[in-house]
Amino acid sequence: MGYLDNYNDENKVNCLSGDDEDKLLYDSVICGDHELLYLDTYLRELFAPVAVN
Amino acid sequence: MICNTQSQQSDRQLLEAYRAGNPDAISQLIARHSKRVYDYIYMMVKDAELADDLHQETFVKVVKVIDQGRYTDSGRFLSWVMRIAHNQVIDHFRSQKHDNTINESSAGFDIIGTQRLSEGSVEDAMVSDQIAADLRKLIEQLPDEQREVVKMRYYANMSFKEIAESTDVGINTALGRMRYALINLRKMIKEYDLALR
Repeated sequence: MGYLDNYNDENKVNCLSGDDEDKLLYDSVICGDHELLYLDTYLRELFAPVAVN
Repeated sequence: MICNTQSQQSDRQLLEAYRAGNPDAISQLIARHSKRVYDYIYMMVKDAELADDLHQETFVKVVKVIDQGRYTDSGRFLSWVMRIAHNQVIDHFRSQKHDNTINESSAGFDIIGTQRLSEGSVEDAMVSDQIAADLRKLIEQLPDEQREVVKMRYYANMSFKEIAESTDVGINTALGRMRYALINLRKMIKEYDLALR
């Protein structure tokens, strides 16, 4: 399927990869705890400022 | 000249572009969130090959629901995708249960539970106000330093570096406060039986 073509080896396996902000989050805050990742995602989206177009 | 590239568009804008007939928009949207969704699945199943499969199944379902017109955006696209990913893992565990090869309780689903999460998005707008209000109250109960970090990150969307500089602490201290804040919030969510659905 074309829309999944961007999914490749760079997107997976290493939970510690990513840009600086992600690396800090994963290494020092989430530490492999999927519930904390879910909670962080949930809170970020719940309280994100509403974009004004 | 202002250039509105796809990388600068919000999730909602990309969704709208896709629905308007631009297939690149959905690829961009998936690529934007692919890693976090994969990492979430991987943290639960701890198997790269299995995580690959479930990740693929998740986004196949995501696109299918969007194509069928059953997704209503409420500004929380990634949370919706994570719920689908969560359900893929739950379904997988349950299909393995009779073999006793995987113990779903060992994966730890304290706050999210072993039940399938609602994948509907229409109710999001109805319940999110109440959940947001409840969570704000819990955040107010955090120790001062943890509450400060949480507000900066989620309300003000500050980076960890910015948070550290604003609070005049080292970045490791800021990160530690963030971690304990999340751990404490999780504990309170369980105590109050709040449903993050």
